[in-house]
Amino acid sequence: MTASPRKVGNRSIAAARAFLLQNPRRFVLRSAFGTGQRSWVLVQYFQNAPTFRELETWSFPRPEAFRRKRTWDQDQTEIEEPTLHHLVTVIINDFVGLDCEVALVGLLLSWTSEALRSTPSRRRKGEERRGDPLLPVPLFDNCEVTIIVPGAMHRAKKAKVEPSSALRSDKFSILPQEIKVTILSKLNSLDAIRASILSSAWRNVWTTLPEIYLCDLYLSWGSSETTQRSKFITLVDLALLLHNGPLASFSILGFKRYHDVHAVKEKTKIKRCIIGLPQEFEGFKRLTVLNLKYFSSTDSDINNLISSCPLLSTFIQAPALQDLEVKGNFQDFHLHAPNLSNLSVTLDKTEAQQSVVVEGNRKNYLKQAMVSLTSIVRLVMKRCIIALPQEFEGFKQLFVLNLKYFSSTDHDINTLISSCPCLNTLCLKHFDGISYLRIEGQVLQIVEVEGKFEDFHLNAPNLSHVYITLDKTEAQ
Amino acid sequence: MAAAAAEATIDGGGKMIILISADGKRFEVTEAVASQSQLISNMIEDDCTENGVRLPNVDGDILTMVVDYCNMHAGDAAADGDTTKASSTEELKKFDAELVQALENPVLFKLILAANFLNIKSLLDMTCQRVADMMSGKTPEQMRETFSIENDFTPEEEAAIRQENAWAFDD
Repeated sequence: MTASPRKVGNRSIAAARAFLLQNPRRFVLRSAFGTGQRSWVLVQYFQNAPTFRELETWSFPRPEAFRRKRTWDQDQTEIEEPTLHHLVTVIINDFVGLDCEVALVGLLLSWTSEALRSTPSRRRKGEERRGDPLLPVPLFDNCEVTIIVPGAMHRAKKAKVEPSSALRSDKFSILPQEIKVTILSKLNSLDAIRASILSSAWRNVWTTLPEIYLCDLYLSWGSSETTQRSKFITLVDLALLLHNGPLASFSILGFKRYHDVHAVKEKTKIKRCIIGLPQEFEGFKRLTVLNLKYFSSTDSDINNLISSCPLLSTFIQAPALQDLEVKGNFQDFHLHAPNLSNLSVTLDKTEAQQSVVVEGNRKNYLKQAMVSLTSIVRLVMKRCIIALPQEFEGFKQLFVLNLKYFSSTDHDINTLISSCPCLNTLCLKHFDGISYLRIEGQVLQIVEVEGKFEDFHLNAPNLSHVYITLDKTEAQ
Repeated sequence: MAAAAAEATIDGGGKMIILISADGKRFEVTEAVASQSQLISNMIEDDCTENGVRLPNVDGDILTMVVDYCNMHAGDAAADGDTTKASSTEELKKFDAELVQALENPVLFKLILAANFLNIKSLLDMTCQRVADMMSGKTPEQMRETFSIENDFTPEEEAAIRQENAWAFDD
């Protein structure tokens, strides 16, 4: 039973509107409408889709609200009541027989064509329609009204009416799904998962819990430490694997040592999440996509998490993140963190030749990331390709730039250096693809360059330290 | 609770609302009390409470409890910043605790459903918490016994689930 009025968000209104423009034959209202305003929107829906044939709705709609003038008189334009000549089937779920629900049926009736209303229905789905003294006899002729009454209290009545049906004392299992979720959410996650064995009605309830918190202290298994560890790991893996999302929070807290064993599913999407890692966390060895949004975590935890996922093509969107250090061997790196002040990106040695490459026209997110780093103060990149997108506007606050084992072009590297007005320390070592290096900076104090290049232009009046080394190969 | 005028007012100045249970019992409450139910609050907003609010799936005895609960908690929202709150908070806690402790399971479930239907969040939370407390730390068998849950898995199915989730069921 969905008694609580679920809100129709703006997004779903827009989606519904788009849907209606395609003249659907079937129209399902998942949300009960809460305010007069929204009911007014509903009338609009009906007007936009006069040809739909089947309406399925979840109670509790309130027709009084959208019959009153003031709800649609806002712009002094009176909206005509819709005509629904094609309506054939109406399904109302969770119908309990409230006056206003009955009134909705009446209202829908009044919107169908006269012909449809002439005789009582002979085509009701009797099976699903429960007798209820408050229900009017539907007057639809070609129209079939199915009213689905929620279980629970009505079930008891039904048992009296139909003595043949087994008397179920198991009221607990027929509680609405959302109540089961509420109950399980008040248990610790392990007990909640354990409830899946109770009966088929409880089998998957935990998989929609919005918060999962797993802590190895809850486990009082009398087995050896090794078994306990592997059990906790399986628990975490399974929880991530089976959870049906959306997850608001997934927290793992481990007090034991966990080595080399986290091999969870390949995609993890975590939103609005608090990330806490076991002290000895060794990484999700098979994780390839990590999508973190709006999360809070400590710097060291998040660095650990990302660095320990070797197959990760990382996507990080973290508006509040300030320090980030990423090490590892990843294919691409999508970063959106406007408040980041300290970034260090290092690729693993083995992959030095081909990672984060701009192969032909392949989209390169690291390149795009350069634009989003508006507050960056210290940037360290190793074994990356340094390429600038066209929109690059410079790092206005960059103080330290440290690039090693990188490749770039004359244009990109010179643009990068010249668009950092506050640059104090510049370190460029072991690079490819640069022949003419031009370093200019009014406040530049320390310059360290090591590599092979053909020409070098230096204009920095405040320099205090300069180290320049040509690669051996070039020297000969 | 005989048919009192729906428009009657009391000292607080609030309008009176009449709630009608499935078995026809009538309860007269102030708007402030009734508004703790989001459902009724919406109805008040839409002016469709004049002829009383029929609640066809809430029995009279359950509605009595709900109304008692709402009467006790009506001060919550109304008396913000009231310095005499401290003691009454204690009283409320005591009242709530006694209310849920005393409930037999079938009544508890009905109360949960009513709270859900009427959309009274605090009551729903409290009753669900009670169920959770009763489940906590129990083995599946004990949980089934406590709540007379019908195990509809075949022995093979149950074995398979236990096998699959061996980590959770080993005690």
